[in-house]
Amino acid sequence: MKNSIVKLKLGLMVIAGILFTSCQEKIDLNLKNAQSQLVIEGIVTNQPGAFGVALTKSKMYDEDNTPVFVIDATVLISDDGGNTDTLKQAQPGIYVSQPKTGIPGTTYTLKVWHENVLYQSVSTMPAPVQVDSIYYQVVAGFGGPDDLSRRSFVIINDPANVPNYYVLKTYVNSKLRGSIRVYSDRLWDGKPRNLRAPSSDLEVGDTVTVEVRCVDKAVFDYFYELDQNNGNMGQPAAPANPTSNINPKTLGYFSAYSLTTITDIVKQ
Amino acid sequence: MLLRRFLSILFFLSFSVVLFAQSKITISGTVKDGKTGEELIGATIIVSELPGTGVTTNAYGFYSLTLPIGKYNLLYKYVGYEVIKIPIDSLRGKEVNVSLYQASRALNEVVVSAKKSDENVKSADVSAVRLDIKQLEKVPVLFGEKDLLKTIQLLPGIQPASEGNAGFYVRGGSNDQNLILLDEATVYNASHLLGFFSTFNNDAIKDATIYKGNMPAEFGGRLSSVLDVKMKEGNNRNYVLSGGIGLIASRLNFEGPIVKDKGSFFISGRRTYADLFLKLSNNKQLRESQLFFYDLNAKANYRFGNRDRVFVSGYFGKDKFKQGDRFGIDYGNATATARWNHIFSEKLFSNTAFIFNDFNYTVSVSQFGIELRSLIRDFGLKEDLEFFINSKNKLKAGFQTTFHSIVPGEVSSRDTTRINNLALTRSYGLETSVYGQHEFSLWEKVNVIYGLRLSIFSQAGPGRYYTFNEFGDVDTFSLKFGQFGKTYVNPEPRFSMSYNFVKNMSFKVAYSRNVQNLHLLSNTTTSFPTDRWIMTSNNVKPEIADQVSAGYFLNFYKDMFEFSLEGYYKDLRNQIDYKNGAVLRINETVESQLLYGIGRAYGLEFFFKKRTGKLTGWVSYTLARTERKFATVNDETWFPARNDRTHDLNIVLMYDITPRINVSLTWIYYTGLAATFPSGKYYVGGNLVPFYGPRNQDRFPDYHRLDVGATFILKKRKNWEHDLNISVYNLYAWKNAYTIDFKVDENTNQTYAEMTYLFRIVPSISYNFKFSFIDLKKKSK
Repeated sequence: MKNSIVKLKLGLMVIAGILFTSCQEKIDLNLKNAQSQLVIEGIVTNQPGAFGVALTKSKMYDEDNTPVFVIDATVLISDDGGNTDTLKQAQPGIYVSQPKTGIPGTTYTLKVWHENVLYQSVSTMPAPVQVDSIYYQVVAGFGGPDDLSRRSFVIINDPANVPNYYVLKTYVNSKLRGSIRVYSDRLWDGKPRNLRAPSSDLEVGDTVTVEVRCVDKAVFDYFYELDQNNGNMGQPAAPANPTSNINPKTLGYFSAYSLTTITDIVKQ
Repeated sequence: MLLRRFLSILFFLSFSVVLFAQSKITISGTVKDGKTGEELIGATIIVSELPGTGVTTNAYGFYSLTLPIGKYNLLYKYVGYEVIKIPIDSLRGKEVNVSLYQASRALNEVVVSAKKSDENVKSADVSAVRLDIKQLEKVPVLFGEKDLLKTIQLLPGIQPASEGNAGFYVRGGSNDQNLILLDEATVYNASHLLGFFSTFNNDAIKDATIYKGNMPAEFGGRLSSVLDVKMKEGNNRNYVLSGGIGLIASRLNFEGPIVKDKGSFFISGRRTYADLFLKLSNNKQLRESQLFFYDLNAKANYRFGNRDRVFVSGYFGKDKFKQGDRFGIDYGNATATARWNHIFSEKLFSNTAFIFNDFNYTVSVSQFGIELRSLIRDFGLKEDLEFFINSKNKLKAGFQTTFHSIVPGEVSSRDTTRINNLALTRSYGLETSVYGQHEFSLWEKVNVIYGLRLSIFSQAGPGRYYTFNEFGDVDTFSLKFGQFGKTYVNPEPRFSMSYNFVKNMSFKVAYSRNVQNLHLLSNTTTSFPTDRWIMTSNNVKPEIADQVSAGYFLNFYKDMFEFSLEGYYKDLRNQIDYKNGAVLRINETVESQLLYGIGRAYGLEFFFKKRTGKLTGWVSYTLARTERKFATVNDETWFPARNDRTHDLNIVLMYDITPRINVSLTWIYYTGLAATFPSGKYYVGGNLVPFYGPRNQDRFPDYHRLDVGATFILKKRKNWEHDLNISVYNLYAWKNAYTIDFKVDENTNQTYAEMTYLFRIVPSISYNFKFSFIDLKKKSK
C-alpha cells in the first residue's frame, strides 16, 4: 500500500511538473556542521562466513564522501548460548569474527569499546523466508515512447500469524544499486506477495541479485525511519536520525538477520 | 476574579437597559441591492439627529434600530452605493425596507455616495477583516484564476503554506487550525489540484470575512482562524448569465428570480481542462491519464411573508487524477445547508440551519486491484438568535450540535489472495456548543463585545477505542451505538473592546480562548488529500489556544487612508507532533504514533491601505515568531515551528488608468520556512545518508515574487458587459525553492543540495462576460 501511495505522489508530481514547468537546480545553502560521531554497523547472518562490524565516523556535509574508518576499538559479539567472540580487524575499520554461521532464533549481543565508552546492542535473528521467484516489469515513463524503465520484483511466501519485516537490497553485476526497500507484512500477513526491489533502469543481460533480509522489529524500525528520510512517502516535514538499537545513543544499528538471495539474468 | 465582577456588572447593565427601554420605537427591515435584489451585509443605518447612533445589517441584510419616540432622518449607507435618506415620524415602530443603488461614476457629482466607512476603527472586532470581493478581482493571480484563499494570504498575519498553495497559516497556526465555512458548512479540504487552486469559485461568492483568532462567540472549533464565506443568493429581479474562459478553467453562472422579489436562485459551475492537452500527447501513459477538477455551487432562497425566509445551498466539488492504467485518486467535498430565517419580532431575529458536509477520497491501484476509501462527514444543527435591544445593545445567543463520523481507511481488493481486505475502526464524535454574547457601546466611544462559548465534545460509539501506556502497550474498550466515551467540556471566554478616543482613531484589545477537537495528521512538507483527520479521544486531548491581541487603528485624510498596528500573543496547548518513523496511513492504532507538546506564537502586524482614488492598494508587514516544545524533540527546548516566518511583506497596488483599463501589481516577500537540513553525513549499508542536527534549525531561501495584471473592460452596458484580463505571475522569473533535496555526485565524490522550483514566468489570459435578460424597451418607457 505504501508503494502505491509513493507512486501516486510521484505521478502527481510528474503531471504537475508537466503543467507547471518545474525544474531542478543546484543551490548553495549555508549548512550547519555537527560534530563527528561514531557509526556502528554490525551484522550477523545465517550464511556461512563471519560476523562483521564496520566502524566509521560521520563527516561534515560539505566534505568529500570518502569514509573515515575507526581503527582503535574493541569489538565483541556473543550469543545467548554463552559463546563470545572478539573480532579482529580484517582491514582498517572492518572487524570480523572467526568463520561462523548465525542460527535463526538466537539472540546476539554486540559490544563495542571506543574512547572509553561501551556501546551495546542485542538483536534476534528471525527465521528465513522462502523467495519464490523474480520477475521484471517494464514501465513507460512520461518522456516519450523511448522512456522505458525496467524494475524487478521478488515473490516471497510470507509465513502466517507472525509479524515479518523485510529489508531488500539489489546488486546489479555484483555492484550495489539503489538504496533499500523495507516492508512489513501488516497488511498481507500469510500471503504470497510481490515486493519491489530497489533500483529501476535494469538492462537486458544484467545479472541481478536481490537480497531479502528478514530482520527484527527494531532493525525494521531503523530502516523504515531511514527510508522515510529518503522522501519515499513525500518529503518529510521533520527528518531525523533513525532510532538506533545501540546504547548509548550513536549512529548505526546491529542486526542479526536471516538472508535469502535470488540471482537471475535479465532476459527481456 | 476581577474579570468576573466586571462581567457581572456588564450583565446587570445590559438588563437594566432592557427594563427601562419603554417609551421607544423600533424601526427594522432589510437593506438590499436595488439592481440584483440581494441583501447587503454590513450596510450602516445612521440617525442624523443623534450622532454616534446607528446599526449595521446582519449576515442576512436585516437591521433593527430602537430609538426614543421622535422625528428622525435615517441615512442608509453602503460602500460604493448611493446614500438614501428616509424620514421617520411615527409613534409606533415600523418596517422600513430599503434598496440601495450602486453609484455609477457618471453620477458621482450629483448624488452623494457612501464613502468608505470607519467601521474598521469603531467596531470592537479585533483581528477581523471583511474582504472586498470586487477589489479581490483586480489582484493578479496564478493562471488568472481569481482565488479568495490566495488573496487573503496578502493580508498581515496570514501566510501561504507554500508556493501557490491554497493552504494558509494564520498567526503561526497550522493549516488544519483554520475553520473554513461555506454557508455555515465546514469545508475540510479547501484545495484542488495539489492545493494550487481553492474550492472557492470567486463567481459564486457574495461575502467573506476572516477572523484571525479573536472570533465572536458564535464561531468555534479551530484555534487559528475562521474564514466565513457566503455564497451569492442570486438576482431576484432579472435573469443573468455570466461566465469566464481562462487558461486552466472555465466558469458559467446562471441566476435569476424564482418569483420576482420573493425568491431567487444561483447556479455556478467550473471545470478545468488542462487534461485535454494530455490527449494530444503521443505517449500512451499520458493519453490515458486524467487530471481535472470541477465545482458546482447552487443556492436558492424564498421569502414566505414578511417574517420568514428559507435558503437552501450546496457545494459539490471533485478532483480526479489517474495516471495511465496504474493508479488514481478521486477526492472532493460536498456541503449542503438548509436555513430558515425567522423574525420573531422587530427586535428578535432567528436563524436555524441544518448542515451537512462530507470530504472523501478514494485511491485505486489497478495493478493490485486495490481501492482505499476514506471519508469525514458531519451532520449538524445550528440555531442563532440575535436580539437588538436598542441602538447601543445587542445580544446574540445560540447553540450548535454536530455529529462527526470518520472512516479512516478501508482497503478492498479484487485479488484477496495477495491483499487482505481491511477496515480500520470508524470513529464517531458528538460536538456541542452553546454561546451567549453581548455587544454594547458606552459613552459613544467604547464598544465592547464579550461572550462565552461552552464546547462539549464526546467520543461516541459504536467503535473500538485504544488506550496506550507509556511503554506503548495497548488496551482496548468498546462503545456501543448511543454510548459515549471520554467527554471534554471547555469554556471559551471571548472579549474584545475598542476605545475610540479621537474620531477615526481607536485602540482595541481582545482576549479569546479557542478549542479544537478535530486534528489533521500530516508529517510531510506538502499536504495531500490523503492526510488523515482524527478526533479528540481518550488519548488525544482537545487543542487549546489562548490569544491576547491589542491594536491601534487610524483612518485619515477623509477616510482615504487606513492604518493599523496590531500585536498578538498566543499560547497553545496539546499540540500534536509525530514520533520518528510514525506510520500515519492505514494504521489502526495511529494515536500511538503521536507526541503532545505546547506552542507559543507572537507577532506584530502592520497594515497601511489607500482605500479610494485612482490608485488603491495596501502594504502589509508581519514580524512574527512561532515555536513548539515537545519532550522528545531538541531536548525539550523551544524550536521554530515549520510555519514560523520571521518577516512577511506584501505590497498590492491597483491603478485605474481610465474607467475601462485597470492595472495591478503585487510583490510578496517572506522568510523561508523552517526546515531540518543535513549537518553531516555517514555510510549505512554502503549508502551515504545524511546526519540531522536539531529540528528546524535551517531555513529555505527567502521567497519573493512580483505579479502584474491588467483588466480591460471591453463593453459595459446595462444588460451586457465583458472584459479581458491579462496577468503575469512571477514577472522577474525568480526561482523560488519548492522542495530541497540532497544528492550525491558520484563523479566528484561530493554531496550537494538541489532545489525544485515550480514556476518561472507564467503569463495567462482570461475572458469574462455577463449578460442580463432585461427588457430594455420596458425600462425606457
